[in-house]
Amino acid sequence: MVGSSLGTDFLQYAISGLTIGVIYALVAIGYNIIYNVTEIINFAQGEFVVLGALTAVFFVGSLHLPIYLAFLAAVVCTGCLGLLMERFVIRKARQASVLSLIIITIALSIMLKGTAMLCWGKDPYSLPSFSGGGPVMIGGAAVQPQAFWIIGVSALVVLGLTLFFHRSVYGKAMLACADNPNAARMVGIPVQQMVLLSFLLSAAIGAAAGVIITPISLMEYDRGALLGLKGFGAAILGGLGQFVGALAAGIILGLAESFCAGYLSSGYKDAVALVLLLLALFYKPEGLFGSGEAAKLKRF
Amino acid sequence: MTESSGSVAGQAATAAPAETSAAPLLELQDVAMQFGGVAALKGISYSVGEGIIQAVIGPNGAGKTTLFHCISGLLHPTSGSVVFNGRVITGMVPHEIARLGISRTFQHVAIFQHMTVLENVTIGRHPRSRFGFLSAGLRLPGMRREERQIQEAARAYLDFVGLGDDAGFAAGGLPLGKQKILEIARGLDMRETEELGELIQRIRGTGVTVMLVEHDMNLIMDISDRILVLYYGNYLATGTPAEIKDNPAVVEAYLGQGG
Amino acid sequence: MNRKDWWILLGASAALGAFPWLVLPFKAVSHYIDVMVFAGIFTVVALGLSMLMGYAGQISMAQAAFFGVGAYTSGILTSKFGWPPLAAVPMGMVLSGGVAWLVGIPALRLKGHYLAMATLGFGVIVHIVLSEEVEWTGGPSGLINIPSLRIGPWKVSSEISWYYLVWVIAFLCLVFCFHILHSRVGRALRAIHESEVAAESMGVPTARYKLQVFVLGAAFAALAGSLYAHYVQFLTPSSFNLMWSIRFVLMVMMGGMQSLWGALLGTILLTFVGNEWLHVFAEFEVLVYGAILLVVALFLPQGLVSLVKRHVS
Repeated sequence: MVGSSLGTDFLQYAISGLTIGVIYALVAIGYNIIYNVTEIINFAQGEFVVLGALTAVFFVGSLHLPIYLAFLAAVVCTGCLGLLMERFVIRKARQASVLSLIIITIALSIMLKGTAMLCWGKDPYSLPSFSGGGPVMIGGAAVQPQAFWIIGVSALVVLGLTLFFHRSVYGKAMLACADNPNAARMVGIPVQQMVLLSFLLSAAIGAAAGVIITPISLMEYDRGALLGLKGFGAAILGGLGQFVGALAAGIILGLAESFCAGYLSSGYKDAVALVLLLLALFYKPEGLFGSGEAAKLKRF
Repeated sequence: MTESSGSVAGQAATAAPAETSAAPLLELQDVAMQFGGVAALKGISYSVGEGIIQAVIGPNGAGKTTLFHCISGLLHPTSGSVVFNGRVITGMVPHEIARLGISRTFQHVAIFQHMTVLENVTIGRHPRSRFGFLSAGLRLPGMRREERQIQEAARAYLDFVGLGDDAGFAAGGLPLGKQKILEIARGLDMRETEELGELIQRIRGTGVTVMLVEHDMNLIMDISDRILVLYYGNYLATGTPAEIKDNPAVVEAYLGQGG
Repeated sequence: MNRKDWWILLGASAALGAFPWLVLPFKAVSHYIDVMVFAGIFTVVALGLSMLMGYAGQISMAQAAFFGVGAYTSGILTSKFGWPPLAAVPMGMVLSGGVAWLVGIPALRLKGHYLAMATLGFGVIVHIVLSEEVEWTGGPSGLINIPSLRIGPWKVSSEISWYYLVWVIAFLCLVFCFHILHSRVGRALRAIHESEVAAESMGVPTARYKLQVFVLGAAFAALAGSLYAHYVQFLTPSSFNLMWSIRFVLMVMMGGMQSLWGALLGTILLTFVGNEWLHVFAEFEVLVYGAILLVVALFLPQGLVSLVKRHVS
């Protein structure tokens, strides 16, 4: 009896780790898209998640849209926000030093956070699940139906992006921009549009992550920084710029965090992902799945 | 002796004099360099005497930088050999060659643009001074003495190369020719000799040999003792600045290139 | 220090020395002395960060963490173990410097975005530890019973005495930093900022200097943290969170990264903005902060001092 309860706990932790892990993966993918095109690390990435969730709250709560419409609306709105951010701020700073760029995206993240606080206050919000029904029992562990949505949506995003970047002309053009913007320009790729597109995509994916996780874990205005950091951890661990790597690394981080919360200390669960982030940065900056050679070529 | 390492093409090399030698300091014996199907150097033989300023000139693509790479060990010649002080140095790695007494300065990376001319020279003495954060922050007497020596030596080197008046300006603001000279001044300061007077004597007398590549013809004509002219990997001419100026082959090489 | 800096120092000392007597008679602004005590404390942090970021070119988003390590070391040792404050202060500096040394060895191999993220992550971890180790730190509800500073027979208690003490320390730190800058060490740091490859090739041990200036910055932050702990006599982790690290960076950037006077100016200005004027905005505070940061980074990357310089020349 005790044994089976131990096994159930384990399964329960694993499932919740998996769900939160794919969210980190989506945040990581947001970093990757912008990095792939501009070699900028966007410190405001976590705020997209928060804003996505909270705009969906607005659409559901005030406009009484059904959740899936609210999901789409929030993704579109946040995507447009990313677009505006690039057009009116980042573009003005393309010649700025790395340090200035870091400060600029941090400033943007603070402003987004401040805006979120002004609009929604400091309370946590929830969203309805995408589909009704009670928890599904798997091997004794209760799984929220929303978890399936989370995993499904994330899988779709990863698959879609991988196809987009490796198969479509647009995707390949975007990758070429990061590689060598001047050469890209010379072969007729509209680099500026690609950069714009990368911010749009990245913000939209962040928002999607925010909307799908909120039915399970709630959302409040100041969650962005930590989500962003953990997502960055997944991006590094998976090898910056790699989508499948980010997915795997996100899941690893999510599981580590969930098991730590379950078996060790819930207070330190946030530290786990950060410690892994530091270890990865210090000892394996090319990531678990990246090559050291390629990492040397990257500009930080 | 000092070594500068980096990835950018080298433009000047200073070499310490041999202790006892009548033979040339540096000897190139049929040095050739192939890159795939392209011959960058087609067998150059040349001797550099001691204590002189040796310039290497030639139109773009003449092989000047390749030649310097071969001397300092960044490239290994496909055939031929480089002899320094009677010793074959072909095949050695850069820091071994540097230890033998060839120190090299670089075209782009080595000047600290936002620091003053004087500060740039003082950096050269960094490895041979010792005081750190605490003694600097507290301005301990020993540190002040050392700092004074650093400043005096640096000023003297600057005066020696004729940059004394530019000491307080940002190095990045100097014209390129002066930046090169600044590098040489700093190269002097990196040498292990403590006594300035002794050093100057050695430069003037037995002399440090300076070998440089430069595109500014006025500078070359002003400061070099001997000039070697390369043309598409071939030896074209050699002589004093005056001889080179009047050499029709050289004139044609430059003019024929269309400027 | 050159002659010009000594003159500025003289002028600044005179102005700061007279400041309390100028504001004291007026009730409406007499609490500015309290604000200026904080400004002096933060100046010490900003000076260390200016050395690290402005001169050596290495970003740190973890200064609030080192500030916190100093503050809590002082706070815990004096309130729980009865240490005299004067012994606890250097202990905090040593501990913070030691932590910086351990973290710095791997972290400073990183550059730019990666270094920023690594220090940011480290800062958040320290904040979590401060919040979670309730037995030691009192957790989110705070650490109380921290005694005020006592130097020999002199118990520093009034605002005025704190004001002078803090600013004397800040100016000593300033002079210390100036001396470093005008030495081979300072020149080496600036050379590292311009090109690590070139500096290394001139015989500057770049890794060691980066580490040392990182440790210096951490020790300065810890010194400031200790002063903060004994002045406020009450600590909560929220004074040492990410937002504070960002504020410290902004203090350095606003005045001018490559100027110690800029750090001083930026710190005083932003402390007034934060402690005083932003209360007007209340809820908008974070937004205003972000906006200032953005404007400075976009349009004034060399800080306010560059405006003055441009004006003078």
